[in-house]
Amino acid sequence: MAAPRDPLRVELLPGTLDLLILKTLSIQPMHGYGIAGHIGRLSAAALKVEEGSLYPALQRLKLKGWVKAEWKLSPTKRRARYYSLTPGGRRQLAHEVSAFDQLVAAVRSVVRPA
Amino acid sequence: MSSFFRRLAHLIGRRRFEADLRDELRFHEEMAAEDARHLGADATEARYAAQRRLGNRAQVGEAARAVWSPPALDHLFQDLRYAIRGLHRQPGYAAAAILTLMLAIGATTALFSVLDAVLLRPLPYPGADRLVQVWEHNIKRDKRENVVSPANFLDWRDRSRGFAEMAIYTWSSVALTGSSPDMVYGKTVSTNYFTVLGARPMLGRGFVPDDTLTGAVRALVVSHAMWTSRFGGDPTIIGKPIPTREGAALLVGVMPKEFRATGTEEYWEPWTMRTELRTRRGRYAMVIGRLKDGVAVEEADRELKGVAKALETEHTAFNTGWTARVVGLEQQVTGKARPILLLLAGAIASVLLIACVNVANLKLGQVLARRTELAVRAALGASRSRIMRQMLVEGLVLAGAGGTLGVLAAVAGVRALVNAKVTQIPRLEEVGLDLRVLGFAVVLTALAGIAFGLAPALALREDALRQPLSRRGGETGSAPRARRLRGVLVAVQVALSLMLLAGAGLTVRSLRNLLRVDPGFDPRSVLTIELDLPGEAYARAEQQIGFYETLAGRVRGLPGVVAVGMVNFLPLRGFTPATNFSVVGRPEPAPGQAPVTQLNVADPDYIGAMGTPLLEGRGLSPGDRLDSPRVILVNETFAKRSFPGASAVGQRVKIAYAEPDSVLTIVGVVGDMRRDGLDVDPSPLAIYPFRQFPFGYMTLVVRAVRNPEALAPAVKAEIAALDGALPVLSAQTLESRISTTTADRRYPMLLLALLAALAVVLSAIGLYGVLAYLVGQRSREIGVRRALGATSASIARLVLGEGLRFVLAGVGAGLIAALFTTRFLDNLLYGLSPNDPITLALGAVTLIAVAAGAAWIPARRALRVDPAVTLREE
Repeated sequence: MAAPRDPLRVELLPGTLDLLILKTLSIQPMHGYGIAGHIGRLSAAALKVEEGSLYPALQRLKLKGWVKAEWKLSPTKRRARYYSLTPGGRRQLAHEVSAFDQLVAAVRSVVRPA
Repeated sequence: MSSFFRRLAHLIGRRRFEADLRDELRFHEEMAAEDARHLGADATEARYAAQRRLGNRAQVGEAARAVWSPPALDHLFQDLRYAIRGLHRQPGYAAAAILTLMLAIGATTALFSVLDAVLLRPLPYPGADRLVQVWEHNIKRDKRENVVSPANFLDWRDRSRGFAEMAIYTWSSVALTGSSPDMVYGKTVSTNYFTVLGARPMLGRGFVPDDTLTGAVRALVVSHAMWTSRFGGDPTIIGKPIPTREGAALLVGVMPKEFRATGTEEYWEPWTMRTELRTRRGRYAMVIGRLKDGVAVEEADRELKGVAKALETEHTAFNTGWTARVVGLEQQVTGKARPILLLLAGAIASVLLIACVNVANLKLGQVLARRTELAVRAALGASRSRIMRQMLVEGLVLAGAGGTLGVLAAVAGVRALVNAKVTQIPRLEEVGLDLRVLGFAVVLTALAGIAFGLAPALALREDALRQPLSRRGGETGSAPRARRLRGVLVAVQVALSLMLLAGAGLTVRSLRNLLRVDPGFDPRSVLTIELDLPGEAYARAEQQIGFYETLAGRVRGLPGVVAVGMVNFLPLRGFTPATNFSVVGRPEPAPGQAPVTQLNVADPDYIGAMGTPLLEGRGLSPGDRLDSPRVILVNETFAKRSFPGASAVGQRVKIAYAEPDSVLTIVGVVGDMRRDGLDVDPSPLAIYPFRQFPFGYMTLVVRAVRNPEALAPAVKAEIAALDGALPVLSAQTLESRISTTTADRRYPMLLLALLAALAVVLSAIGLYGVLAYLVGQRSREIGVRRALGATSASIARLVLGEGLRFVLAGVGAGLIAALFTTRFLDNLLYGLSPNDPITLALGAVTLIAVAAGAAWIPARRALRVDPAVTLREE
């Protein structure tokens, strides 16, 4: 296929995928396709989550005990696997958000010195 | 931590996980397709796009799975599944390999258990490396392990400084009376005996100096075995009097079960070190010592030799030619068995090696047969290392199965070896399959598994993986290198087997030589009964003579008895007293230079009952009595050594024994008997008449018409009729007494023979496996040859020749190796050179015959190859 490459699309920083998923799930429980769509919409398609990394990431979070999964019916009456945050996942999210803020501030102060 | 449990739960709910993942990915795909349709794409196009977006669904699944289980572990499970499935498909190959391993691991574990108990396990005494045995050493007679004179012991103890403590002990016995009279053997020990060994009684106490005071009650410490068998393991028995023939004794202590005595004794009593012991009179005791820290055995030996040197000048008559010798106790206990056991260990290792080669060979054949399959897998992307690892896992599965069965076989084997009881191997009763032995088996198994992985690795060169795809697998002339490797492996097996066969053959033939040695008497149909008259009841010579002669007379009257004689120390009994003598009319020899003779006391019928010939003069007669002139019989060696070229009869000697000043006239010369072992040349022997030198301890020699054992109850009844309190020390046939003396040769022989048989069987299996494979591979070639008119004989020659070439190479190598290795057997052999050509030839012929037998089965199959069938298969 010859789909034109979106010039705005950026590479995810390593480790940020987990943060994005946790943040998305903090709004409400969601299935994998929904998570990918939500991240794409909010970032105005600048962040593209590949399924090849999304599902392993979800399994990773599940293994760490930050999310849990259950099968529910979607609004379109389809069986879908919904992920939601555990209390541990909430703590982890808070931790990662503050770490990310620090990182962004630090990177900014280097890239755009005041 | 909790992630560990989630991982575990994942493993258990694995099927569920796979279903979830599949459904989830399908849902994702459908949603994506739906969205695409909403955006205007047509349905098919949308689905394709969605599938493209999702990429390789399997790949996503693989990545998601990988989160849960580390891939290496996953592969391992996969390899295990493959391996077990693979072995299922080839039951013949799996059975041969597992059987080989079972035999090898079973036999080696059983034998290692014996080695472990006898050789490797240290003495169970604290600081055993500081314990030593001290001997007197007669330099001239080269008696390096002579028992010790208590007088010399006392001086060693007082004058040496390298010893923390030294203890002395000697043999003793006690006649227990009461409900079941029994003679029990034990040791009289200095009161520090247990302290020196670092042992303490589990019940009661050890000995204290007060036990040796005049008038003290005889104190006894008993072994755990005796405590349980005779006293029913009753702990309240401590401190209670026990009836003995000499009056009540006091049981003061019980040694723990794991206390291993310095011999087979069942009890101990304290030895009073009275001043009389300072008088140098005889050598009859054993000495152990504990060295001070930092003192080496060699230093102690040097020091005691110095003391002995001084004692030699102080007591010229007694000590000339004598020195002391200090040996580590550990070495003392296992020293003699060590070379034999190391030899057996070598043999065991060889068998194991043969077994490993066998399975490697089987495995190699299997890999060659599966080359096409492996090549396909390599082409589909399996890495070389992955394939190698799978081979390794297969090897380990085989080794594991064989090892498990082998351990079971080992349990049975150990039981068989211990029950074989043909042996005087020390500590054999302690042999058991313990955890360390099991560990040994496990290590062996793992090594075997690795070995099987390695052999195919040699065959799997890079090109070997690709080759079969370009040419059709199973073609003639395939992989000559691998075939040669397999042949070399067969040759190695044959060579090792021949070495073992030569060793076993040598020991068997040597034992046969030994059993053919004429002992100088006729051991068939003879019952021997040992008795010891108590000194109190039979204090006077007349009483002893009266008892024994009455008994002999009564036994002579029993039906089935041919002759009855009496002697104090039977030949091959393990002990004969010996002392200096001088010939009357010859100058007194210098100290230490006097000739030595062994001594017996016997009645007139002893020589006849033993079947030993009278060579010259007369035998002993009933007329040789206390009040008649002292006479003596000598054996042939005595006569030849002391009176070369002249008749011994009529010569007179003085012997430093019962009546050292009496002049004894030699009245007859009898044939030599082997007294110290069938393989030891006879020493001079003098036989005193029982009526002139009565002895309390005598052995009845009862020659029967046949079946001497059946006489035992009748003889015992006669003894009980004469003295109901007199215990019978032992009743045994002469033949069984002799066989005890050959036990230390028979046991290693038996083991070596077993190992050799195992080796030959394994080699035969190996050869059969290789040839069967070759015939299978070459069936097309054979078919073509037959179609072109080859005779059966030429086909047989082709197949047999292929195998026998390697066998002959192995036999050649094995013969050369055997020439070097059998010399370690030298000490075990009698009347045979370690390079005995007959034995080697027999071994080689046996192996070639067995190999030909093993080769014949595949050769016959080759002859039945139908050319029409094989050619059509192409």
